[in-house]
Amino acid sequence: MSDNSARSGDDDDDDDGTRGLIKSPQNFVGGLALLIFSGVCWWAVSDLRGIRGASFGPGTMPRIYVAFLMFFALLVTVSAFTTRGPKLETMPWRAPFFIMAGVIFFGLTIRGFDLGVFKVPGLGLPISGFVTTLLAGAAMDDFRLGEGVLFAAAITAFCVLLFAIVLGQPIPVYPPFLR
Amino acid sequence: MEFLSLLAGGFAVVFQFVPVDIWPGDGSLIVPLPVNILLCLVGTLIGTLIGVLPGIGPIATIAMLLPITYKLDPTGALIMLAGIYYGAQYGGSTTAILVNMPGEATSVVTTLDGYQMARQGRGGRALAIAAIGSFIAGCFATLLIAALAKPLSAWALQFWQADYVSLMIMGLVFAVALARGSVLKALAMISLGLVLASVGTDVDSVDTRLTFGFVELADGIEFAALAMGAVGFAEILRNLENPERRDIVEGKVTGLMPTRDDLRQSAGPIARGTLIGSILGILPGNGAVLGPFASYTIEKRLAKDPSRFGRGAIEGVAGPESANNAGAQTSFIPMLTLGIPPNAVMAIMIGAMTIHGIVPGPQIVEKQPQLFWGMIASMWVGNLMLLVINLPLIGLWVRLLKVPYRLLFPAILLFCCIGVYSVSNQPFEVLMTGAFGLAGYFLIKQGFEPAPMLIAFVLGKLLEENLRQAMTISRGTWNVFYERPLSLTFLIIAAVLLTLTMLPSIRKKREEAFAE
Repeated sequence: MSDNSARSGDDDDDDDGTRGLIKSPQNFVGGLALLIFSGVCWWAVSDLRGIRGASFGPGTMPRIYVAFLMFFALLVTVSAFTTRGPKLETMPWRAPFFIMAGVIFFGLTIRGFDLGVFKVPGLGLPISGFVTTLLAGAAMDDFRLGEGVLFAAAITAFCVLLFAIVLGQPIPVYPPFLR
Repeated sequence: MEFLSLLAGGFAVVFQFVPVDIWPGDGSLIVPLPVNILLCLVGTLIGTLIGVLPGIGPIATIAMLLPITYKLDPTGALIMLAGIYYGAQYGGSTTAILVNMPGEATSVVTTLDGYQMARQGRGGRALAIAAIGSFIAGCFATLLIAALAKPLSAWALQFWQADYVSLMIMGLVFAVALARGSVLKALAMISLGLVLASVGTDVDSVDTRLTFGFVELADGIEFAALAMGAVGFAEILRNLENPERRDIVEGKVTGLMPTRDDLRQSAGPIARGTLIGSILGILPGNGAVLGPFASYTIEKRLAKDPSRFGRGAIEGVAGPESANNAGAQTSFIPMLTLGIPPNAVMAIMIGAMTIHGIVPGPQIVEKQPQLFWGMIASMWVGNLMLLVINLPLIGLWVRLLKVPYRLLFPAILLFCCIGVYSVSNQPFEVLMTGAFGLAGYFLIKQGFEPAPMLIAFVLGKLLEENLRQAMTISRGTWNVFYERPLSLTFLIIAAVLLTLTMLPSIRKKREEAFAE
């Protein structure tokens, strides 16, 4: 579905959107995404107890909230057929990929993370921070490895000094094999 | 005028000397220090710094510094955190004027005329008038908070749960009306925020809701993770899309003193901006962010020659800059007197208060006058400090801004990761932040603004709590919501505002106003 709207968005040079069935691709894609999310949430709260007599059950408010989301997401999706809007923006992959890689690396290795099938070892701030900064730097097209390494090392050293030593935050510094 | 004497008491708190055990912590070297004023200075300096840096805002910074404030006494901690918020308003204008890039969301408008002024060699005067305008706005807002605190909190003490529920519903409607872009999308984002707020363990039944099997979500979604992801990370991703066109206007930052003409031209805009910003800041919703836009539009309408705007009109800097600082400060009013945060930064301030065992709400004014009036007095002192220290530091900020973004943003990202990890020392929060960042980025690209979602997230928990209590007290009848005059008033205002916002003609005007 979203492919369809993206394609029709490309056909049309008009900045105001498409002339096809879907007049506002952004509303369509965004509304549909929220609609799907609300559907998943509805399923997740469906087994919670609802209102009983005077008192609300655990499921009452979530169901009201999810119903609101579903309703407005549906309206946004429907509005894609009635009002004209801007076409879809291109989704770059490089920046989100490297930024997310950096963030996930930090999350998994700063203290170690049990993924169930595999236990990621904790590496501590110097190593985690360095790799994260380097990965994030690679998000940009004009990334230079030499400069990136130097800068990542400097900024990580600064963070270790500031957060772990000066401010005394309980953030792991040494990897387990050095502890 | 009772509040003036109370405010004077606040100044005494700000300037008091406290014996501090400096080093090594065994009582061998105890020096009396004016701790609160030093913390105020530190807060405003950090605030200016992060205000100058695009992509790292007060939310991330306060979240990062929260764990550090455990060791401080609550008054000092809150004085410092408040300083970060209004300090960021000053810093944001520096980046806007010199680099044509908003350092903060509230300084977007300043780029229009501020940067043009800088290119014409009037950068120094633009910076000076921004600082002077902010200072005047800060003074006025401080007095306004002081004057409103007692009557508002006394009034709020008479609120029933039902009144709170209706007040919060009104707040959500305001958030929709004040949000940028489509009304429908704002409504969808409000609902999304409410859904996210209901994640976690239900207090009454101990059932977990919407946790999808994650134990880490049993306590609910961490606000800092949501805010830093959906706003901070998403903004970094957004910035990376546009290859930077940053031309720092340097070497031209001379002549800091505004001319008599500048001052004469700015007096009106500063006064109007202060007033508009103060009013919008109090409103729940996106008030503090909206103030500068409203001020700019009004100045442009009032100008004899509107074509000067966008080409370096000093009114276009003076008005919005006053408005954003006024709004930043008056947004403390609902938070301090009602316990209801009007924006994301105030929500995290409530988090900070809770950590220090202070329950935000109308009782603070009476029960903790030291903290309350000390914090308000510190705002005036902080504004004065910013006026004095800001201008000499501009050289330093310029040097910092010369660091290319490709080096700056990995550092900002690392700061955010460390910050969100330190909130509760949970690696899971870092991963959540990443997920929220990606989702937020996707939604922003489809024209959904994250700001209303954050407000709804904050109000969602309070709303459910109060609604359930109200229903228990009223034994399951809804009458209480329309039989209480106060509650009914709030609901009527909410209904009228929502209808007005949805009316096609007004909807169109509203979208035009935001487009400007």
